[in-house]
Amino acid sequence: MNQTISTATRLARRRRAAGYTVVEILISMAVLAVGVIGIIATQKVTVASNTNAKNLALATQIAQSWLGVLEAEAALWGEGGGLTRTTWLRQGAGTTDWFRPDYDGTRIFGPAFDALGNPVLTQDQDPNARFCADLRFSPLNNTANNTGLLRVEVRVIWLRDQAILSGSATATAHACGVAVQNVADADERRLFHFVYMSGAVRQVVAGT
Amino acid sequence: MKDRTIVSGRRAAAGFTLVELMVAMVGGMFVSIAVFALAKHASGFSLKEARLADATMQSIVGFERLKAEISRAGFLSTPNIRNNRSGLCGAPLAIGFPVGLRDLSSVIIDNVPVPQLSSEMTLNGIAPKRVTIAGSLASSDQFRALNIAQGNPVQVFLDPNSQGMVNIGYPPANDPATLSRVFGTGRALRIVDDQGRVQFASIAGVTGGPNPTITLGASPAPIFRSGSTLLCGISGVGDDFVNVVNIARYDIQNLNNSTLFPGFRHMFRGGPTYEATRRELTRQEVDVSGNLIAGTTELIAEYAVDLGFSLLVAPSTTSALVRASSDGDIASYAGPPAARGAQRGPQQIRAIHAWLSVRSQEADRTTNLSLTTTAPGPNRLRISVHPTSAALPPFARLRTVQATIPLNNQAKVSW
Repeated sequence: MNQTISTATRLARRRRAAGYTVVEILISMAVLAVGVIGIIATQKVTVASNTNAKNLALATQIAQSWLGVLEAEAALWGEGGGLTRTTWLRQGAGTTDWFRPDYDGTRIFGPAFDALGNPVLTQDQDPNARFCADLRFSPLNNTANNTGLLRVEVRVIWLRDQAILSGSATATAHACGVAVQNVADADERRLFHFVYMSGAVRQVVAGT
Repeated sequence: MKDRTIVSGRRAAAGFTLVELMVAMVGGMFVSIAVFALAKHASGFSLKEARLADATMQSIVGFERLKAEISRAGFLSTPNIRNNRSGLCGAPLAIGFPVGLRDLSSVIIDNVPVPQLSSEMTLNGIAPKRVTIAGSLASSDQFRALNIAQGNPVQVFLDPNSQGMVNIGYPPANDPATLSRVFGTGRALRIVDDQGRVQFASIAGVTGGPNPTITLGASPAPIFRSGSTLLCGISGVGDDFVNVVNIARYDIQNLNNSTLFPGFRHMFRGGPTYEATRRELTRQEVDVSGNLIAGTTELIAEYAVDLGFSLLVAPSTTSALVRASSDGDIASYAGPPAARGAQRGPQQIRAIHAWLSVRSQEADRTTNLSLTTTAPGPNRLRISVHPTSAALPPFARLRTVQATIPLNNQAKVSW
């Protein structure tokens, strides 16, 4: 019996004298690392959420701005369908496909917008461009010349953070770098965040 | 062998040695320091992001309010009373016409007065603008008047059962407070007479009960057709419609003034360092004499830093839209009447592009960051809150929202 106790005591003493094993330390470090990684990941997600919320708000405002501009243009939409005083309503007339509106220096407005939502002063190749807007018009009446009422759709796109690195599509450094007809392609659409907004503009008899 | 077992047992019973304890304490201290540092960082990070999220929400919510009212500019009012020749009964430039009515416009944009600016704005070269919007903002209805009685004072007897009165909840309680919430003292009253001609008057008070009445102010004197050299005006036999015209000003102000704004003093109880230079986007109503109406101040967005505008205008009846973005062009179309250019006025505005920037409560950045954009609009991502120099840290992050708002109420105006 004494021999048994003595052996157990020796084993216990040896264990105490040995301290922690490498495996124990590694496990504790791994547990700590998992916790730290969790906290850092949470912070990263928080930053990304804030940035996404900001970008979503900006893109929504850009889409609303385009609807506002088109409504303002409709005030110049003359009797008989005359679009001569308009810029973008005229550009989109005759097509029901998505098109990229031209930049207009007099109106200081176009398809590309910077990180604060300002219209960028070029067509689309400006490195400051962060958001890009496309338009699509659909007549909502059945008159011979399709005048009077248009459904207008605005699509605002901006690049996902990691999309350029992981995408197999052609990399693009700015939002308007992908041609309008390719934005919805399978390879391209995963590059972007999208905001769609639609409204209707009606012909307002222009002042004379 | 037995002695060694006894000694070993004693050691085990004695607990840890001093060296073991010290090693453990030092190790524990390092772990604690690391954990506390991590917790502090996580907590600070969380607060910073929460403040920025708050700034984002402030800018969005405040801006939506501003957009909604801009889109109603000119509603059941006039784009520009001075040019509104046809259809208007009366002369706005007549002697005694209150200044708020004499200048009545759908929008007036001017600079925020210098005393209202913070040192932070001045140092950073920010000159925000303010906008004054006129229109029927308190109600969407026109109200049938049973009679407008000529006298001193002139009284407008409203039909208590009209749809407008039902919509504001007047019957069956017939509460004067309900009536005064729409037809408040100091606001303008737009009167459309039985011939469709329009004139503006001022509201001096209301009376409730089964015969709801609006009492008009002496100035401007309501015009009655009988005896009028203008050959227009109220007939006195009914068939008139009236609606309120509110004049609301979105301004940037320092609400930390317990005398002027006692209702907001709970917001300023000391606290963070950068509170002294904070400013707020506010909404206040202006009366027909151009004075602010007491008790109408509303907080729209906290920590407002910049409010700016550009315009899309139709300068002639044959031209396309043109952007007016310089201070001179904006004043020329949307400034106070004295600042407007020849053949220019707010009636030519077809859309207003507006932006609002608000900052985070705390300055949590040590470097500046701005865009290199040359577009007419904001380019700041951060603002220095250093007390003497815009080039020095610390910097507070900004959130900016902007949108183009069409003025549909004057889309058809051709004069």
